[in-house]
Amino acid sequence: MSLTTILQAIVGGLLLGGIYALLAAGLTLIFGVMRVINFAQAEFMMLGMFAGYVITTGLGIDPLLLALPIGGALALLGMVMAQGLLERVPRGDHNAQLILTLGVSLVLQNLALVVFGPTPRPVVRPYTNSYWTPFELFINEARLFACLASLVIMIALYLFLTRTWTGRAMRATADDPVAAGGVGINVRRTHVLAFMVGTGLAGVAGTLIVTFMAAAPSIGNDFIIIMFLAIVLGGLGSVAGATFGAFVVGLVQSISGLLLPLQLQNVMLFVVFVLILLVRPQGLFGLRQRV
Amino acid sequence: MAASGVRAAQLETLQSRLRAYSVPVIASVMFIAVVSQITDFYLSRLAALVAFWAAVGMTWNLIGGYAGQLSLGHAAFVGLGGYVALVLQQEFGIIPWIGLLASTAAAALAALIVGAPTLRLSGIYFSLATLAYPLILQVLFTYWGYQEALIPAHPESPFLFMQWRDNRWYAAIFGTILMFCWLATVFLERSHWRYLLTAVREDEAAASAVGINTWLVKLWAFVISGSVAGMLGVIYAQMLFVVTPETMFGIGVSVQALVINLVGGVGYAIGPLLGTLITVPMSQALEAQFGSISGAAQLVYGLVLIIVVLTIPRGLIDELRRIDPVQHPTLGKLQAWLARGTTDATPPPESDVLTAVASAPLAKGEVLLKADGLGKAYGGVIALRHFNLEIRQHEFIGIVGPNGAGKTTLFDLLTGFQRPTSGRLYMRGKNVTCAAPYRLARSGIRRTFQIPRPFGRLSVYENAVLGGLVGATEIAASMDEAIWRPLRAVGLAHLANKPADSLGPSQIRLLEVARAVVSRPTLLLLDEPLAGLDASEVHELIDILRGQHSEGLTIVIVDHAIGTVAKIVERLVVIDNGILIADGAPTEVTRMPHVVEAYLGSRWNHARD
Amino acid sequence: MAAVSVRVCRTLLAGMTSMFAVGLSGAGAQTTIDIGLMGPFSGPWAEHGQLMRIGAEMAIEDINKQGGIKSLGGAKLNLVVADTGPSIETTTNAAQRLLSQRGLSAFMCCFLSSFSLAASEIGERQQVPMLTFSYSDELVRRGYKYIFRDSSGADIQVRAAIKLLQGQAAANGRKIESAALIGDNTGATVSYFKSLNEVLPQNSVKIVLNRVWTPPLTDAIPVALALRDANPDIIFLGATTFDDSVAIVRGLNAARVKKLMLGNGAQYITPEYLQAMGAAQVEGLMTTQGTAITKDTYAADFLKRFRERTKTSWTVHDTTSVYSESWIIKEALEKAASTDPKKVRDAISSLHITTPPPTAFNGSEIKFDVNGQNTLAPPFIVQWQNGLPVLVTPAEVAVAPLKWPS
Repeated sequence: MSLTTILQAIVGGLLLGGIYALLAAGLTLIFGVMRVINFAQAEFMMLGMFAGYVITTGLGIDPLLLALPIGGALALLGMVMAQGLLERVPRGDHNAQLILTLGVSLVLQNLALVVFGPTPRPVVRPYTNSYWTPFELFINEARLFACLASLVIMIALYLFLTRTWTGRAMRATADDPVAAGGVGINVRRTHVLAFMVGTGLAGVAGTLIVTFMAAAPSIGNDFIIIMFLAIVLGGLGSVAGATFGAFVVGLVQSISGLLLPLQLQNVMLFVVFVLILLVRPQGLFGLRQRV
Repeated sequence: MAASGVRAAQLETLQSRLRAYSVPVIASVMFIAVVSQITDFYLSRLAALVAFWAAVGMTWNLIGGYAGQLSLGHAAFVGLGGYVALVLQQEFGIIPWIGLLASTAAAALAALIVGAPTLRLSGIYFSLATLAYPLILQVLFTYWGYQEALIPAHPESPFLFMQWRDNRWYAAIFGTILMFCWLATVFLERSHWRYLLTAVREDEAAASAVGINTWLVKLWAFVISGSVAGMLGVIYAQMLFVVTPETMFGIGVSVQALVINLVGGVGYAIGPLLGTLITVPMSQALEAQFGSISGAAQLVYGLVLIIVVLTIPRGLIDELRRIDPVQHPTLGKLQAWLARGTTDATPPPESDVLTAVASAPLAKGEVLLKADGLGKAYGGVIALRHFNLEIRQHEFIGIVGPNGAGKTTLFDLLTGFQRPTSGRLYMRGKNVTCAAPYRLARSGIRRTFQIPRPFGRLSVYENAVLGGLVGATEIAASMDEAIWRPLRAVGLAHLANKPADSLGPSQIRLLEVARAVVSRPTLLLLDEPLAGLDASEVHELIDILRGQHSEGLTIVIVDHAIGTVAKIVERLVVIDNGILIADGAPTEVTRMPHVVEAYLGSRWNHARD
Repeated sequence: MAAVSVRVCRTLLAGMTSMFAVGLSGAGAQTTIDIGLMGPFSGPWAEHGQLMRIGAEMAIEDINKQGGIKSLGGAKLNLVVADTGPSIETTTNAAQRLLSQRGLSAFMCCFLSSFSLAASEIGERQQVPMLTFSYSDELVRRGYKYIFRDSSGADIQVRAAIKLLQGQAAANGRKIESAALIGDNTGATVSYFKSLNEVLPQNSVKIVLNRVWTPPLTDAIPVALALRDANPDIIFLGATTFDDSVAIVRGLNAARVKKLMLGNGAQYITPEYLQAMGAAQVEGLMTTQGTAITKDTYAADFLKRFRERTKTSWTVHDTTSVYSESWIIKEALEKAASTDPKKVRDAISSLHITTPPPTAFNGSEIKFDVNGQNTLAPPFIVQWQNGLPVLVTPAEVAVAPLKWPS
């Protein structure tokens, strides 16, 4: 096994991780603030992909430029879901929340199927099929740009969560909703905002991904478990942790491809997943586990 | 009680028992009778599937409903069962009936291996972990080459190979297994297991505090649930005839098991049955109606799920129970029948209550609990250090300290809810430093909680029962005395049938005391029992505690209200900043300057005189 | 809250009973003959289901336009469709529903081999004939009487493909001595690779690389680089999902691996695939097909009508196979002069079709052996040439000759 092969795997893993980070960050933010696992997270990504496809093929605008506006649109959809549906479910009723987000996932997936049909919709930009080849490595430009854009968004997210009042309100609510309410934070509004940010991030991810992956209604299914792995690794509720976890997942996938039969790539991930939960369920950066 | 009264009571119990057990049997017999008349293959298949999914739902209900552990990976067991039998048949020619036994054993083993570590997790962490198991199995079986596994065909001997062309046979088998699952659930509901499971579901900490080994209870539920699911998987695979990893381990299977229960009613015996009767025909009907439009059927199904969750989040049975029978007589009849079918206030048979743990009789002045250099550090913060204390038989001790002194930490250490980072804990001479809380509880140390933890959905009476269900130190003369006496002592006997979460805050505290005392513990520890009580409630509580003490109970109160506590107890211990600073008679201790300083600050020291 | 509860309970009970009744809607009217099509209309394979459906719909239209079933008084055909869904349970439920409730004379199913195997079991029990184009050889090895496949299976395709390609190699002054097998672990690919692993050594071809992944393929580059290092004479591509098929060939092109490449199935020649890859990247890429547009005039005409209907430039075997199968059913109905599925089955097994439309896409006559396989069906290879997929072998019916990669 040459050094180039190993480097290639590492680079590949990091590129994967950059994209996973957006999805994972959104999911963990929603969980941290609302204590809800949004099973429809990948469907918001899928809708972002379709939106990117439609606008790019219709108006010719590059998806990378559309990432933020489409993210915004999906944040609004998230708001509808949060206010219209999630708020109506009794708090703390995990069964109900789970089924609700599952139901939404089914609805969104199949709505896309009914509206767009099953044919995969690829977007081809000049950089989709070209590769950057430094030091004998092969780096797909679309993936690279998507990963870089993702990093920019993650930095923006970090700044939002640490420097703005709304962001800090979110973290406070995640940490202790009662205390947060006590200092004047509108907890309900913060919940909805967190959900919006979470789904918005998924929408952004979708728009970035569509530059190298075709939009199709059932594309979300492959990402669900990846997202869960990442957020558990990093610690449920921690955005920094989810980012870290996403990169770890990408790297584990890539590197286990070198060491194990390729078919078992994901088994490694699942085993790591279970081990983390058993040994250190709060993950690497997670919140204190509350009884 | 007069002899005839006892006889009548026994007859009534026998009658209700017969009634409860006969419902599943009659229903199953009727089901099989009806199915045997169905000649349409589609309808008989549907009947078989309804019976299958209802049974799968019931197995999920055991771990997800009764034990309250939301499993998202039930498919792992169904699929494992199916595949083990399939592999045995394909590779070794073993008939599915033997495969059935093997699969059940394999699924049980898998549940044990997987459950033992995973059930130490709680809530969402457990659920997420369960997601992984079917995925791992799916990848493994694909890797091993079973993408499209065909059951070897043996049309010549359908019975031997569990391969009937007529779906009615499958319906009959599933119906029979369903009947046994249902009977088992009825048995569970009428036994002390229901109490154990409910306690574990409602509040694991409180369950530990009354001596329940929550991990073991959950593990039992998980293993039984998994093994029966495995059994069902074998027959399911036989019926499908072609098996793929996605079919057996897919998330759809796990979700279906969950949805069935949610719609029907989680934690009720017939919940999954009702849920299946609604969801399976519904999804079939949707496919028939909309199947030609890509995605339409699933879209409607998803919408229906959302609507169901928003309107009946607790399931159909719960909604039925909330209906006022006066206003809606027909539905009220259904409600009454359900209430009879699902027992909710039958006390466990006498022999189950108060299983005594043999323990040596108490000697006067014996050291019950000894803290030897106990210390607890969280990272760099030291919450408690070098704590030494001996609690003797029949003492009435108060441990006080200002807020932040380390009282909660100390309390948790003394009751086993946290492990010390230094020092040791002895109970009657035995080293219990690393013992789990339930062990201490079983050995006679009972506690109350600072924020009370009643089993809210159970009645006051049932809460008290739970106090004595595991590890009482002596067998009371009769159940009556064991349960009612403490309830009377705390003045809650008249509220015996009310759900615990309908009580006021001070009443809940009293209930906790009653629950703790039912098992006749050797030592009772109370965690901040006075917080939030008004003067008369404090008075009431003190009287009750004094009464218990006079009957021989050793009591330790941990609180910060030094003034009140000092007046009650015989011995006062003060801690501040994690260190024991005083230990003696209350009148002396309250005068000590450093005690006053600890509470009020040095400025006030000169003002005390 | 109680009022809502009552309403909800009542609605649920009412809805349940009515929907159950709906689910039992009876068979079609007498003047039409129901034939069924089952395929993946949802989930990751849904695009293939849609293509299958277009083939069936066009066939039914054509059949009805030319007068329906003349031996039954010009009775028209009616297409009944059902989604196979994501699992064996959903597939067999749909099959059972269709066969028990709708009174079909014959049906076509299912795209995925595992679903075809399961549905054919139901067909066999219900005694309704099923036509399929799935690859798995198991389908016609069980001695069942109610399954028929008018195109070739994995084994035949593999054997014939290797012989053909080695022949072509010799004609071009080249040799095929080493091969690489890369693909996913879905059923079709597993059959394909299993046959290859047997047949290649028999033809003196050494397998120098074997990579199998669980879809989705996260990163194609390591596989492409391994291929580059292994330097085989031919690469057998077994990716089945759209994104994987795109990613692997993209990766190979990036690594400048220019070899003979043979895929398995329509995923390599759909219009979307061209859209994603671009004509230059797919040039020379080949794939096996069960049926295809041959140089037969009927086929060319069909393609023209297909283009008008769907606004895409060509079609794949999902469509042409189902179109062909529908016509086979029509011939069987004519011969049987009855809608009784048992009689239709007997008619199919005794058919010997020598004229278009069905033969237009099979490149041969159609006659089924005792196991239900049309043994005369040659395997087809379709190749991308100048942005269009064209049939290149067998030579008798090919639209263009095979181009060797430069």
